Amino acid sequence: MSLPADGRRVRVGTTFARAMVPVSDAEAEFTWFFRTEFTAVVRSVYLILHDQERARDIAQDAFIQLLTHWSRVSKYDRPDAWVRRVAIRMAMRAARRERLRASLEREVDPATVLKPVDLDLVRAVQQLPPKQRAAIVLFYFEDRPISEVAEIMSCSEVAAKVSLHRGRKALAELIGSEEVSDVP
Amino acid sequence: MSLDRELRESLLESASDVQDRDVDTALSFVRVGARRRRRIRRAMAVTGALAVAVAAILVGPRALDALRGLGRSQPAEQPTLTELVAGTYMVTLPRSDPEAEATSMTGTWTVRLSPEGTLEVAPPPGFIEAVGAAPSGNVYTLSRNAFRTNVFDACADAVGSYRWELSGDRLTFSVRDDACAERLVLFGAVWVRG
Repeated sequence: MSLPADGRRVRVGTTFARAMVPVSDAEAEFTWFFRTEFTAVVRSVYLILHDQERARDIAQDAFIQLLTHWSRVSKYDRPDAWVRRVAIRMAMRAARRERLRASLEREVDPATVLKPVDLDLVRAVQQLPPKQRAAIVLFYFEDRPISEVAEIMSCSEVAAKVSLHRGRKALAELIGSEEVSDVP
Repeated sequence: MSLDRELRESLLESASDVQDRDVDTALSFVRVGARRRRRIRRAMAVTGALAVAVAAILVGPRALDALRGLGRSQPAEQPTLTELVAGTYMVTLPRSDPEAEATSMTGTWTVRLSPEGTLEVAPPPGFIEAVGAAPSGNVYTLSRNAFRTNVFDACADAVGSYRWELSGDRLTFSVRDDACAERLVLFGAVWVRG
């Protein structure tokens, strides 16, 4: 997968991948798939965790799981959704652990709490609960419809919509002062 | 700028921090990781299979025995008292015994106690001559303390009760409660398993 100059990600369908690579050559197919999808998965995880190294580790772990099950998953319509589901789940777990650790540290040192006025939008996303972060990233960054957001997050469409709505609402509150300052 | 548009642009800009680099290195890590994972899974599968095999070897025969035993009668338990005393006994009543002489019972008696509780008596010829027939249709019951029977037609209306003791092949009785002269004679002698 490439990142064009205008910054928009170009999604390449798996069907196309199958057409280009001999089906019998699973190794080559996986290699092609990996080169196409890995960085995109790292970016999505990074937007949830805001930590490049951890994002790469999590993406690698997700692709290890994918390669382990490649003979089966490669037959699915959307192997990219499968590997994203694994990666997003792992990222959400990591984010929950991080929030827990952060909340424990804040109990020790209240001065470390970030105030809303200190946040830009991306950092504001980091303040959301992991589920809302994932919904925001999948919907706004990956441009996925709600049905796919729900599928990747392993929840119902209603639950995905609720997470998205709450995330947007919280972000609006968090960056409210900045929005005002942007007005000419 | 709307929040939605700002979100999209901010996220895309932030995502561009992640460079499309080291993909081949990451691919190598993934291949190594997947191989290790497969090895672990294979090892776990082999370990599981071995555990099943060992369990089958150790527990299997017992389980099979238990399954085979389901359709069979249970192994012989301790014999019941009736089974313990069941058998054929010879009872000799000498002419020197005045009660035996008086009741025409002298001679050798054969008594068969069945495990089912029937008691068959084969009297000596002298008794049959005197009485006309051998006792028949007799039963007995046994408890730890009492041997109860209705043997002898003349006394069939009343049941006699005796303490009993089996020692080797010798069965001996002592009266607890009985008014039947014939039974008192027969049960007063030693019964020897024949």
